[in-house]
Amino acid sequence: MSPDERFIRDTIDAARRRAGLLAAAEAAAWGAAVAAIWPAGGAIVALALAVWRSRAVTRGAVVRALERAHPDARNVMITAHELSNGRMVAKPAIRDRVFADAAARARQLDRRRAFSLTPFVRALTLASIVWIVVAARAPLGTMTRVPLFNRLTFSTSTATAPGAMRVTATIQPPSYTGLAATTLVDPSQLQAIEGSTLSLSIESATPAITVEQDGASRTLARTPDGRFTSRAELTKTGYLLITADTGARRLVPVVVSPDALPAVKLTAPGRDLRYAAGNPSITNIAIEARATDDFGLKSLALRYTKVSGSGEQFDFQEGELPLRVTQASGRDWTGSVSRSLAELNLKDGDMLVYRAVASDARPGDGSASSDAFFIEMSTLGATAGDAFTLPEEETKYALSQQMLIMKTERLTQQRPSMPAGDFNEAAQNLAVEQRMIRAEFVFMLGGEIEDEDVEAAQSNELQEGRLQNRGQRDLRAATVAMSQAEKLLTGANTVEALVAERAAVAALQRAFSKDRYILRALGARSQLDQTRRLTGNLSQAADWHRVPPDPAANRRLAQLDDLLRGISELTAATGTRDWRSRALVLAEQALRIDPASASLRQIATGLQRAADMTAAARSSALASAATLAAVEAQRAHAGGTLAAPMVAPALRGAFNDALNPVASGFSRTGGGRK
Amino acid sequence: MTRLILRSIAIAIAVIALVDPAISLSGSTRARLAVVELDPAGPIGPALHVVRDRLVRDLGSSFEIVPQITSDAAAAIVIGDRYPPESIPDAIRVSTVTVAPAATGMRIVRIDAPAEVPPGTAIHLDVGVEGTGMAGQSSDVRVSIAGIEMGRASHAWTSARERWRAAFDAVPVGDPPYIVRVADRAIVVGARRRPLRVEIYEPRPSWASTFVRRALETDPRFQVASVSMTSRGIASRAGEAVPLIDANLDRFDVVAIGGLDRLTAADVRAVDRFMRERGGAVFLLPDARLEAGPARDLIPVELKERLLERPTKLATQAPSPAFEASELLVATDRSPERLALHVIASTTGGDAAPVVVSAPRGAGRLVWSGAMDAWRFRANDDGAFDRFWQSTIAGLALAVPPPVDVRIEPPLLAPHETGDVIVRVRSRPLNDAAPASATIDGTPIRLRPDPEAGVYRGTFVARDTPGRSRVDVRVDGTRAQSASATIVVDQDAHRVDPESPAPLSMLATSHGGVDATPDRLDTIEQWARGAVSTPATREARHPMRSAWWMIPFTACLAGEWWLRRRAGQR
Repeated sequence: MSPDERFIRDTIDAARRRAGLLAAAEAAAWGAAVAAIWPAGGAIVALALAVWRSRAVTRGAVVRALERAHPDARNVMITAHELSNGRMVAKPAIRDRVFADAAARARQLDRRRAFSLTPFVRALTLASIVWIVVAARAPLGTMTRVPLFNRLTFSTSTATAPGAMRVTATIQPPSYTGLAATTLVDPSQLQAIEGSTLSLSIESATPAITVEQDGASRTLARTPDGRFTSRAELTKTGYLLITADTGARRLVPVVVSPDALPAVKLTAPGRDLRYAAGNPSITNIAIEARATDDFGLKSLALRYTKVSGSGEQFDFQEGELPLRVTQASGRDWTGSVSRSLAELNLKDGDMLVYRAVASDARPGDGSASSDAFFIEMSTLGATAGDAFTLPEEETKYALSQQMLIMKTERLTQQRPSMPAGDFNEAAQNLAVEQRMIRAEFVFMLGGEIEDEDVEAAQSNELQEGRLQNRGQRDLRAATVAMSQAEKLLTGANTVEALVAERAAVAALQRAFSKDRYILRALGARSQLDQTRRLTGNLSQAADWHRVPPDPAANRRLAQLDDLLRGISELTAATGTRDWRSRALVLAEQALRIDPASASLRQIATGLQRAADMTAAARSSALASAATLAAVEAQRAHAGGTLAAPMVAPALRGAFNDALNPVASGFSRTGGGRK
Repeated sequence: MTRLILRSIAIAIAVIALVDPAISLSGSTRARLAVVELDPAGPIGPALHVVRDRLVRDLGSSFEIVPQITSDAAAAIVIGDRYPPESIPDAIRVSTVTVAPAATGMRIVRIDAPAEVPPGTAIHLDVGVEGTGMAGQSSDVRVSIAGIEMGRASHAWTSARERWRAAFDAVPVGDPPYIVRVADRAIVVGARRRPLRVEIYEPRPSWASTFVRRALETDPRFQVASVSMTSRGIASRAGEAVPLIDANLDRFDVVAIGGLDRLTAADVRAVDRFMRERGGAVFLLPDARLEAGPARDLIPVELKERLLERPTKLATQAPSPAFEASELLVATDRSPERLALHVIASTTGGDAAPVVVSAPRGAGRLVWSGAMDAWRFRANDDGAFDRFWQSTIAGLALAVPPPVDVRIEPPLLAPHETGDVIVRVRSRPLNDAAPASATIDGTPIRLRPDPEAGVYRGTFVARDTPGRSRVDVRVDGTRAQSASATIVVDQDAHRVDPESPAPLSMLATSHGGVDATPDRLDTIEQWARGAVSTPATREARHPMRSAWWMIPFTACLAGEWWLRRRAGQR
């Protein structure tokens, strides 16, 4: 190869490189212009242009382009190129001459004339204009980065990528818990103890940030360090919605766990005690209590109420026994005390109700008490029985009946030494007393006494039957037993009256211990208003049009139905452009329905997670959220309806009639059983 | 001489053409035979294709084979595995080739679901699944509505042929009617827009009916009216309650009655009419043993009082929850099927007996509850008492026919599929037998009266694209009434296979054909050749009307002319 021929070849190669670079740049610029509107289209356009332009980068095309740019060459470049690639054959002398002329021309060639920058500059200019126009049309959006093409886009939706703002949340638990503060960056959920302080620090380019907590909004201003800060006390489970001026939103469920009250238990003796009156100093009672708390205890004490008195007059004296407290840890305390009956100053008939009370360190009342137990002094052995753990107010009726039993027992014991007349009169007095207790009791329950026998037989009329259950039965049994005791006392049959009186007490205890009733305690004995009894005027009775209350609207059901519909539409619309923003709106909706619901928080989190996933990966996350939503909605729906058997409906009844002569006969005769 | 012959021939052709004589011909043509595949896209579709290909190959030379039954088809051969859902004209002779269904696999054989649900109510589904050759394997059944999974159940098959039932509660999503997809099958459940109208009637106050009333009054699905006779001539009313003998009682779907001992014979007659003519449901709620009396005559079985020391939990039919009672009136009849009774709740154990029972009465239903003191335990089990009565009364109220009932069969259609619309007009006087008319998306449907009074039936073709169509029905007369139904057209409308499909051989039996298996197709071919006669025809033809006569005619004239010119003549 002659030097001239080599020069020609190098010249053509250099021109090809320039042509190739310019073609690639132009294709990229056109692609960028289209990508501003349609990313996938941009890639397609760039590729297509590159392929098309590549045809102009072949050696032949380049030589032709050079000749076109320099017509004075008179095709010598083309001739040299054809001689070089063997398409034309010539004598060596002619060949050398052609290459010499071509090399001389090639030294004068201007490759910029043949391969101008103009098309590339034109495409680049247009791409810039398109991008500026697209950017100007999205003033409300924030600039976010989409991973697929790493291009800058502007979202006009109400929810944008989480990268638009950086949220740092610091939770400071209440000081009494002794727990350290925790800091989370871009948390998906916040968990805190009730009373904790939440400090938010938000980094964002937006001019202002609004924070909504449980429906209350406040706007944050930028601090000198360029951040937005907020501070709030967490008192209940809810949500935080952080909204930027640009429309970017961040929804964070907040789960607030209340500080549990201390758990207190009387470990010894752990049961009711009953002592016969005698020498109380010899009996020593050891009481032990144990208390635990999740964050720490502040106090543990043993409080008591001493009940003394007789008849209908009782004295209630409250006090506290100091405990020797042993602290296994700040959260686990035990206390003990030992007292004799004499030290407790319990006399015959007295009763001591005691319980342990512990409190934790929270501000305000953080105390809890154990079950109450009795210590009872009784010479007669008649007691309220085991597990007599009634609240004080409710105890009064049982105690009144109990006192009647004691009086009846005394009267029974004194009977041999009493004149019959005095005994009968004393028994009559007790009958009156029994009647008064019973009347007061029945009156308190809202019933009225017409006739004892009738009332006993129709005792299911009490309280319109509203509370007809085992507790009600027990109350009814107590009433009936009181009536029987009264009759027996009236007949001076104290022995059998005692049985009835004790049955009444047992029934009362059963009823009260089930907490079926909340009794209204009467401070003083009340007389029945006799004028109210059976005195209605039937002539004024008339029809009554009752207006039943409207059933409460099930708002939760409607909201869950709407959420499910939204998720269903989202499932069908996978791949649409606004999918992400719709998913975030649904997440917000789910949380607003009931922030305290763990499953709804889970649904919201799942939807947010799906929103940040690629189209291919989001379906499983969406399906999980949908299933959870369906389960939650199912709880809000009424159960299914009974399936009525409807096989050949018109014939079924006739078939049944044919089988059932009674029914068909009834139908024909218009009544009367055959 | 030649010229003369040619001229004569040409003249003869012209003359005969002018006469145009007719010739009668006798012969035979090929009969048209329809060879039809049932469900060619189904699981046994390939097997059907094989059979059809062979029949076409063997019979194609003797018959004109067409793929569907046409009005002029001489006979048909139907290939499938079960009786076809579409009707085939009685006049046509049909033979069948029964192809055995798929040997293994799982299939949905039954889906029990309400036709419609009130707002805020879950759809309870009882799904029957049959597994064949699945022993040792397990299957999943998934229920979804609007693309959301509502439930999933799994079952491990233990025998070669096994039935399994699974229950689901699905939440309706989207616009009604709801398409509930169970595995690869689908059903349609509508939505009940009208409230469930219930009247509680108490000739005297009764706890048994009072607490049922309260359970319904707290449920927004019900519109409850009540009347309670609290004293002589004095009543407590709520809503638009009417006496039982009032004709306006027909506005209600359900009547629940307590204090049965005070029911009069007139009341009972009215209640009986309400059930038979209105098609309503009546609930009898006794609170004491029922001795003789008008109310007792309504109940078709003997009742025995059973008083228990402790309340017992009654076994109920799903989805109604179990509830408790201790004072019971149980039906002593041990075979309730004999009286077509439907046991809703019963005691459990060795002496199990029906307690809450329903029985058909005319077009309606009668329900009596022997759980006399169940109301005492209404707080137990998260209000099971209330939920039981809400579920039971709602279920029976939904079954009560409206004044004009429009049913679409099948309720789920594929594009272009043919469906039936069945209209039932309830309790109109005989002299008001006005015609019913129907349209589908504005296009009229011809309704034909059925033998059953007040029933009309029409046929329509579903739209050609998936979507919903609306059928509007109007009944004229002195009381013009109208109703509508929505049809769902779905491309993937795979309906539930019948649990025990009728055999395809029945079609051959009823249409004078034979049934054969794919390995005995020669039987079918013999039947076709023997039973389907080739029709003989006699045809009158006019041979001179053929244009081909122009050729000899022209040739003769041209030959004669050429010979004449050759001889020097003009």
